[in-house]
Amino acid sequence: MLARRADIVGLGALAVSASCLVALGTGWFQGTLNALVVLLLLIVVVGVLVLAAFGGPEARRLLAPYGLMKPGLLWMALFFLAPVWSLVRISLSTKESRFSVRYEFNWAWENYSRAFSDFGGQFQRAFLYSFIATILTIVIGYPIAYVIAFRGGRFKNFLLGLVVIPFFTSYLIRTIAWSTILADQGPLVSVLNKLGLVNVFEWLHIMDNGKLLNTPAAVIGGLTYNFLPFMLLPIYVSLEKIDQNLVNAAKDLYSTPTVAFRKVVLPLSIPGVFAGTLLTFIPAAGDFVNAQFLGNPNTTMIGNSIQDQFLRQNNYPVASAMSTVLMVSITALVLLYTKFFGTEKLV
Amino acid sequence: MTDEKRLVIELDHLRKMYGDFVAVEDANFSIANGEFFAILGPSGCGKTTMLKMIAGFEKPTSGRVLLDGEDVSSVPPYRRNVNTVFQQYALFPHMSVFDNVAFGPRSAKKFDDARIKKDVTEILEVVRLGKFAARKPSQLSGGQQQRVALARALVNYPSALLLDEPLAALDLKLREAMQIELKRIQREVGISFIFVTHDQGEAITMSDRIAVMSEGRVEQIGTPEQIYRSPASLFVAGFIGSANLLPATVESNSKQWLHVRTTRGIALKVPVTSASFAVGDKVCVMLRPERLHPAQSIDESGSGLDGILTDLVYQGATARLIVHQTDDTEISALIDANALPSWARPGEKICLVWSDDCPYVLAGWPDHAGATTTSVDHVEASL
Repeated sequence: MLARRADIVGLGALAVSASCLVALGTGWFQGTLNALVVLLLLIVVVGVLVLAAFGGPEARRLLAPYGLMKPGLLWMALFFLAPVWSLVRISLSTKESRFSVRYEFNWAWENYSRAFSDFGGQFQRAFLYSFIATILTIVIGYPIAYVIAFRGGRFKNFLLGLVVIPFFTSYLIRTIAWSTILADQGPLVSVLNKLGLVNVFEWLHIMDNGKLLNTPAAVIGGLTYNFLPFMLLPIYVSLEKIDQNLVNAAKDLYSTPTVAFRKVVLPLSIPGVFAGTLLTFIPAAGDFVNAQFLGNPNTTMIGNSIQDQFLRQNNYPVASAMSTVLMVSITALVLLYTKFFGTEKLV
Repeated sequence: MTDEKRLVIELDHLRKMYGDFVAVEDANFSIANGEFFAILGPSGCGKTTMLKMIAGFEKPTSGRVLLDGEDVSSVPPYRRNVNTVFQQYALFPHMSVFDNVAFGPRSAKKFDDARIKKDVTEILEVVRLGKFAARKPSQLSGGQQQRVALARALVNYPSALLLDEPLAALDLKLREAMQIELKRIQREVGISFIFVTHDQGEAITMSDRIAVMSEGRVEQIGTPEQIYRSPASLFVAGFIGSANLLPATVESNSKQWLHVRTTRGIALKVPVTSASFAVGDKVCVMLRPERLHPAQSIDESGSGLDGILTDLVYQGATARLIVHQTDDTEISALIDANALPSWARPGEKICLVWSDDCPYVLAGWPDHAGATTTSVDHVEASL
């Protein structure tokens, strides 16, 4: 009987064990109750294993999909669902006293109003900077991906290697390296001074008071640099798949090379641009490394403020509220973007 | 097909090299309006390069391509009034059938939207795809995709339509149906079709004229019948249909007959052709399998060969006889299955006879004596 309904058992076991892990991770229960939860978890896991071992081939076949999902789902339950639960809960709590580490859950919506009123600018900057950086990665990455895909020939893999090489160094070190390059006494500024281009750069709002470092442009530049491969590689993959004969067919049908690109290559590479945008915009919006090393106090992004509130001010409720807002707004933006530019209509 | 004599495409000493490799060597022929013209040859013979030079995707190293009498050698493909049906069709996957077909007229910007809509609808009717206009190419079968590719090219009223192995991607039954369909469409639109193929059967059944190519050279141009009956070279003889090739030496020649002796020592008489041979020349006698008949003995007046019948392959309407001669060369004969004599059994002695006008003489000795296309190794080597 149990063996024939093994799929239901598997699903149930998965749900129960995931709930147990979330409960343990968030500390829903204390003392003896906690021990009971651990016991329940063990019973469920061992029970399923016993059913798999002795239930016969049919039971194993039915259990297999749930068994395969288990490691991933349990991992997510413990390290994603439980923290998110805690985060949302703390974002609606107040500290018991200034020096306490205990929080009282009391639907404290004022954390959210503080997040908006005190850090509205940081939210705006985070979305503005990452939006500009995403556009720049498209503008810079697309032509490179195009050249590698269509003109790379036997150097294709070598050129792709060059794109990936910066990843061999850590993100942090690359960003700090940029702060050296852009420094006031650094090579770039002195060259610009000698060429007398400082005024032009200031007019373009790339330089500020003769400085390259610690400007909004430096932060956006850092984001662009660090996320370029995440845009370039998906675009490359979608361009690579395009049959050269489609371009030939367009030319054969009276299209100049430019029109052939606009009508055939570009539409067929949009899925790559779409994937690249997600891979770039989402992490860039939450980034704090670039703003910290390449920016100034007026260029802080929401990631910096969250880090500051969590680690320096120890103001967990407001920090959690900001994190929740960031998470929800990115999700909303991505959903909107998918609705308007989604790729399911293509091909 | 009003002005049938008008030349649409003229190739003037066309030559294409890739580094030191000669892809096309001195191609020099023209194609008339309304003609169904095949460029036939094994893979790597330069036929696709030739087509690409006509379409404009490849620039000739020397020589000229003339389109409607105008030199277009350095004109890019998008300004040439020829259209191509690509081997894998190259339909735009992100566009509907209608948009695919309308792509050419829309890019050319010669007509307004109403006219384009009318043209596209009309040509979709010609290829019998009127009901599929809104579909995406991925929702169509192979044969339907092929017809979209045809419509997409034909809607532009090109001077000539170029087809690169148009039927290679289809399975056998569909291929045969599409051969008839292509002929019908070509008659209906009256445009010259130039198609590249490696399939000699396809070339023979469909085309008005065939250019046979080998290793970059055009070996022969002619009607299917000319090419089949009087091949210009050993390569053509072996490539078109199957043939039995017997190496021989000329012993004497008269006005009407050439007397030769095969390397096996058999004396044969062969009708004289336009080519002239001197005594002692190395020649090759070609015997088409379907013109050989089984007999129990060779009578005094006729010509024939004897050997052991090693294989009898029944093929329904026809039967193929494989005869091994004493020097182990293979001769193949194709006969009406109903005319198969009861005494013809594998392992028995048999004679193959023919009428006087059957043998055809060619210059040179073949690499492989006897029947072509019966041994797997030989077929593979010739590809």
